[in-house]
Amino acid sequence: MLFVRVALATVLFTLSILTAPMAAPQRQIRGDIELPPVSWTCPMHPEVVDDNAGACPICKMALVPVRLELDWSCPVHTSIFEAQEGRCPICRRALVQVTAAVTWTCPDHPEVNELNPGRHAIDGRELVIKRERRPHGDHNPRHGGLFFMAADNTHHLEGTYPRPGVFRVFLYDEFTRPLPVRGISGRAVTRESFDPATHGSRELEAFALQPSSDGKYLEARLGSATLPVEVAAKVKFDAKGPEQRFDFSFRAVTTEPTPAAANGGQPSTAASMPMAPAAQPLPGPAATSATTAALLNDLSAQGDRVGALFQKGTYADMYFPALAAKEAALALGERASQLRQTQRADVADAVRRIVLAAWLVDLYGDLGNKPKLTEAYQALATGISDLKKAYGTAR
Amino acid sequence: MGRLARLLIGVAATMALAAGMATVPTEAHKPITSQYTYNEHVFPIFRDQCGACHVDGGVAPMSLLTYKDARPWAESIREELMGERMPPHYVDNAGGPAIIINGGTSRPLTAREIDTIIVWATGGTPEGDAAKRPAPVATRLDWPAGRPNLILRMSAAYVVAAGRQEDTHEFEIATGLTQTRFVRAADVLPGTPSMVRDATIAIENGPVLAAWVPGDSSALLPGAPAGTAYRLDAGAKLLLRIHYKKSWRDERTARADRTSVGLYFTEAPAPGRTIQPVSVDQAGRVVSNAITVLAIRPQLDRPYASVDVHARTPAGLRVPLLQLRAPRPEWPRRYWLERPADLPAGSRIEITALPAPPDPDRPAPPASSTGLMISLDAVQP
Repeated sequence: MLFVRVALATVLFTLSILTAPMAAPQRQIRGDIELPPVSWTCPMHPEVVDDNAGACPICKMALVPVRLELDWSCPVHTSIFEAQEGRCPICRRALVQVTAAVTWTCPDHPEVNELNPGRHAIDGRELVIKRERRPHGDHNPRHGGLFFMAADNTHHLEGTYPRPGVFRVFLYDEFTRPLPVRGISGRAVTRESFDPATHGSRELEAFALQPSSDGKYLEARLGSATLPVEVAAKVKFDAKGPEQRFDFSFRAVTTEPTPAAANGGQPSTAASMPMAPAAQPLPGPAATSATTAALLNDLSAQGDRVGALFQKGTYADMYFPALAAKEAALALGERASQLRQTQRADVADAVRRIVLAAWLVDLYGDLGNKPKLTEAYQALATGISDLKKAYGTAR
Repeated sequence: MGRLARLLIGVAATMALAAGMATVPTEAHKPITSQYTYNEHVFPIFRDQCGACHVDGGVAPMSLLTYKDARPWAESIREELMGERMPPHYVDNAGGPAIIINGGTSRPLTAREIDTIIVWATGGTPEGDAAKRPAPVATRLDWPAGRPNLILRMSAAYVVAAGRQEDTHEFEIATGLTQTRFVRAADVLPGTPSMVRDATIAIENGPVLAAWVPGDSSALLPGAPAGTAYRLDAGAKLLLRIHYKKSWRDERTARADRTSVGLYFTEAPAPGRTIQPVSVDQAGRVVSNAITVLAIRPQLDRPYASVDVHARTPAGLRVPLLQLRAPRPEWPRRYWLERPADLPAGSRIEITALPAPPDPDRPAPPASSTGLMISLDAVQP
């Protein structure tokens, strides 16, 4: 199961990284021009993507080659594929990043799907490029909310807060196609107590998630209408399956994106969260020339940034400043020789805790698991504060 | 979504390998974000800090000393590191007293080492320059601290039957000594390293000479500080208690072991400087005479979130002795203090232990009925 989950998650991101350097304007894929790289996938389990040929770990079928690339597409007009960020030529909505499979087909023989450009073997016509969305190629919210993938790798879930006191959950399949919510049970938990000793929690306030009359979403009327609101959706996708938890945090009411709004208005808070990862490089090691004071400043600033994102509820973005803080901490750890022996032990210990906590923030920020993320965030904040203290610069 | 997948890149391929499937190298486009490679950066850490167990024929379930062996485990390695479960070092340096672990050859990973491995494991697990591929590493089969003064081998091989995976057995070993000797350190050389999981060497009706776990060589320790020693009388017998755990590969095979004990002798210490054990249970204990604590050997009955051993002197001074973070009973070690702790008569030894929350992914071995015990190694000041 782990494999599948992992492989699924891998698809989108792998691509984002693979294609990131090529996301530049060179779009003409023809002849000798660089083609998207070949990956291997299972005909029955598209979530399996491997770098190498082999057998599907689920069904043992031979993997087949596929070229994958990262494109910009319209959430509504899914046949639109653009190389760069922009607006849908049909509805002017903002384009979102998706993963697409690239093949070449014959204009007269649509059953043809070749891995490389060329001519059709029978009619000799030049093949044309074809792009198709891949499963998990689009993790963008559709209703201005926050979007998560469930651990079963099939269900995807978006939470919205369309008006005060109203929490909605939309479900999607792996192609981000809406799923009916009938038969899905769940509740919205707004208050619970967490016991760090047992790692268990007790619900203090929960509201049933009820299917809407059109079956398009689940809705809970929360007891309070004040913002910001924090709510954990606990959902069972089938009666026998395990209950899964998704933590949402809304600082403002979410707004349904409309073509008009997309055309000029500001995106809603949640929709501004980049679901498909931007081609942002990971923070690299801190410059060796940086002064200790500069490193300490950077450590503080990155720590503040992590805290601000945590408060804002944009958990999936916390990884970047967290990993940047980690780099500053590692650099500080390596110049601790100037400190007294007792300080050195404290520095080494704080740096170790920061490194571990930063990677945990990275992990749990993605999974939307708030209790775990909170622990990791607190460990990171404590580590940063202890490291500054050990350097004698607690500010 | 942030970075989950970047974190997990390469796992698809590695898990396929783990499942024993043939993979054919094709055009390499593995998304590599790691600036660290196995050959150059990761292997030296694995070799020096993990290789005593994670070696072909070692006691760990997998070798990490070739790229082919290590890569399928990248995701597991990341999880173990981030959960601070591996490497199994539990000493909490912050606030606690300085502890000597294996003379410095086996130690917790540094923050940079942890980060290097996680970056590698999540960043595409690159192998790196083939020209820098490390030479094969073999299991060590000699005494790490040099030849002991006396080597005592089990009188016969002991067989762990085909149907059993784990077994604990106590062997009586005659020393054949005709005069009293003084021991500064004792070590274990497993006959079959892949099955000797841990061992203790005790003098019959006397102190424990060594608490041995793979990867540690007790003889490398400064061990008993100069001028102190364990007394071994003429004709004394040793009790060698071995916990066997066969490799998963050997589960259905009978495996035999014939382990050796090595003793390192020293001069007779001054009166009062012979090491005596002092047992303390969770209720604590008041020592009636002044003592100098040299080492602390916790005997854990279950996993703990933290264990803190300290003394309170009659004057109310708190003397820290040992702080462990998330220790597990599977790693029964003795911890030597870098600086022995002097406790005046009437000091009270106290143990504060917080049990670990249950971890469904990592069931604890059945709890022992004795509860948490601490054994101090002490001499008179």
